[in-house]
Amino acid sequence: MELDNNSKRDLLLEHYMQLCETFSGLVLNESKEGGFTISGNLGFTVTHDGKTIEDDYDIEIIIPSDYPNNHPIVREIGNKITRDKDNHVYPSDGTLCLGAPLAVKRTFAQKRNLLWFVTEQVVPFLFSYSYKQKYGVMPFGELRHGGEGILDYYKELFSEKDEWAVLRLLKVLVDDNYKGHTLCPCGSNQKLRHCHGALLREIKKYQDKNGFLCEYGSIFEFLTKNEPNKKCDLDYVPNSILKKMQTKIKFEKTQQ
Amino acid sequence: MYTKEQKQQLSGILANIADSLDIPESKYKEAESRYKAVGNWLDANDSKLHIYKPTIYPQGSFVLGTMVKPISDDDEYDVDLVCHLEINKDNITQANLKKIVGDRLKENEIYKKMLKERRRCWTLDYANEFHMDILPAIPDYEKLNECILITDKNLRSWQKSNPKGYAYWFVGKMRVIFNQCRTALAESIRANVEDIPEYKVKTPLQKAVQILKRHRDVYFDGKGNKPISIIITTLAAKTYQNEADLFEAITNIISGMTDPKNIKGQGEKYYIPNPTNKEENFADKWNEDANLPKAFLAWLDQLKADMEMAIEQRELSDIKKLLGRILGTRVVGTVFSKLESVRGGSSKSHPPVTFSSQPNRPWAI
Repeated sequence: MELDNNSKRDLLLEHYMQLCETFSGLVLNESKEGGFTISGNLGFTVTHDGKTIEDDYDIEIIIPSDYPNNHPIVREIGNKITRDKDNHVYPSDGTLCLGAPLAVKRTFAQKRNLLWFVTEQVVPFLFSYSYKQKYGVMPFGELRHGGEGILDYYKELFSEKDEWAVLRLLKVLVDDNYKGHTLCPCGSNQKLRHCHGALLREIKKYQDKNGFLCEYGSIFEFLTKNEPNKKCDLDYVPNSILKKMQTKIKFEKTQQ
Repeated sequence: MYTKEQKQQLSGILANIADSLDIPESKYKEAESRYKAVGNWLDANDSKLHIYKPTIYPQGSFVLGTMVKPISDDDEYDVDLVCHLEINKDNITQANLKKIVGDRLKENEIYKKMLKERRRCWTLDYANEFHMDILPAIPDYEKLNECILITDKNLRSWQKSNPKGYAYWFVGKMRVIFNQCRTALAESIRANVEDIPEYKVKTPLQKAVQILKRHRDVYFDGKGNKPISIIITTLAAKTYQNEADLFEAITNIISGMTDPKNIKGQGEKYYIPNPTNKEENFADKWNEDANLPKAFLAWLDQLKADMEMAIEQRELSDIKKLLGRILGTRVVGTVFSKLESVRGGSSKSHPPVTFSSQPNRPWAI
C-alpha cells in the first residue's frame, strides 16, 4: 500500500489522536525535514499476577518515513533506565530493544497503528523494567543477547528444538525459495505446505530476504562459535553463500 | 431515592457500555473503504452504469452513529448503503433498476461470490466482518433534493425514502450537545475542534439509542415481535431534550416513548411518522398486528423497571450483575474489568493498560 505524503500525514495524525485518547502526555513534533516524532510522558497502570504497577517514563517515538509499513523506534529520554544492553537499551542512543527483530515487526503488522504499538510493545517493555526493579524478575522473560536470543525466538516460533532445523527453515526465506510441495526442512517428512509452510509464508511478509540473512548470520555465528568442530552439512547453507563458496573453491583450484 | 453520585456513576458505566457496543474504529474504517471500493466499481469508465453517475453513501445506524454489536459472535454488523443512479423514474422500472445494479456487481468476480438478492437490496456478505446492504435508488424529482425512490420486489409502486434528510433531522435533534461533546473531546486530547471527525463524537442521545437497542436485542433474543430500530431511533430523537447526563436521557426517552401522543395519531391508530415524510408511518404494521405494540410496550416497561433497579444499587458488584443480565454479561464484564483496574491503581493519573498475556520478550544485539 503506497500512500502519498498528505494521506500519510492524515493517517499519522489520526493514529496520534487515537493514541492520545489513552496516553494523553504525548506530543507530536514535526521536524523541518518533514520527519515526525512523538515525545513526552508515557504513564500506565498494569496489573500482572495480582501485582499492580503504576509508573511513567519519558520517551521519544521516532516515526519512520515509510510508516505504517514499518514500525516506529522508541528511545527512553528521562534517564530512568541505565543505557545498558542488559537492560535491553542500546548504549549509544537509548533505543529500546523491544524484542527479536521479526517479533517486533510481526506484532506491529497485526494492526499497524500507534496505539497498538505502544500498548502491545512499548508499555510491556517499560512495565517489565519497573517490575524487575521492584520484584527482581522479568515478568514475561527476556531473550539472551545476539544470535542466541534470535535462535531462542525462532525455536519457539517454529516449535522446533533442533537449532540446525531452524537454520534449514530460515534458509527457505533467505533464498526466497518457497516450494510447498517439497519436504519440510524441519525433518518431519511432511510436505512443507502441510508443516511449517503457512508460518513461513506469513513471516515472509514482514521482512525481506536480507533481513532474514542478517538473522541467519547471527544465529550461525553463535552456533559455530559454540561448536567449532561441528560437521558442516551443506543443506542449511543459503544458496547465495554456497555460490560464493563455490566460486572461492574454483578460484583456489585454478590458483593451484 | 438515589444520590447525585449514584446517577453520575451509573451514567458513566452506561456510557462505557455504549462505547463498547459501538462498531470499533478499525471496522468502521474498513467498512468505509469497502463501500468506497464498491462505488468506484459501479462508476468505473467501463461500467454500464457510468452514464448514470452512480454514487454510494451509507444510511441508517452507520451514519447516525448508533450501531450496536450483535449479541452473538456469529452475527455481523449490518452496513446499509444507498446506491444512487441519476435516472428519471419514467425511464426505468423497479425490476430493471435492481437488475442493472446487480448485473454490474456480478461482473466483479469477488463481488459475484458474495452477492445475495433481497427484497429491496443486494447484499454483499463480507464473511466474519459485515453485511453490506446495497439499496438501488433513483432521485424523487417530485420531492425536494434529497428524496429518493427505492425498489421493492413485493410492491408495485416505487417506495419513497429520504435517508439523508433523516440523518440531518437526527443530528439536528442533538446539535447543541454535539458541539459541547466535540469541544470537550478536543480539549481532552489538546486538539483543534475542527480536527475531531464527527463520527468520533458520541452524544448522550446516540449512546441512549445504543443502550436501548442492546436492551431490546437481549430482551427479544429468541422471541418474536421485536420492535424495529427505526422506531426506537425516531422516538428517542424526538423525545431527547439535549440532556447531558446519559441516565437522565434514557429515563426521559423511555417515558416519552410510551406517551400516547408520540405513538398515536388523532384517533386510536398507531402513528409514528417518518420525520422527513409524514406520509410514511413506521408503525404501519402495528395497526395490522396488535401483538407488535403490545410487545413494544411490555419491553419498555421492563426497561423502565431495569433502569429503576440499576439506579438503586450502591455496590458496583450489584450494578455489574444487573447490567450483565439486561445488556449481556460479556460487554458489561469487559467494561467493569477496565473500571476495576482504574480503581485498583494507587492514583487515577495513569491509564490502565492491558496487553496480550505473552508480549514480546526484550532482546539486544
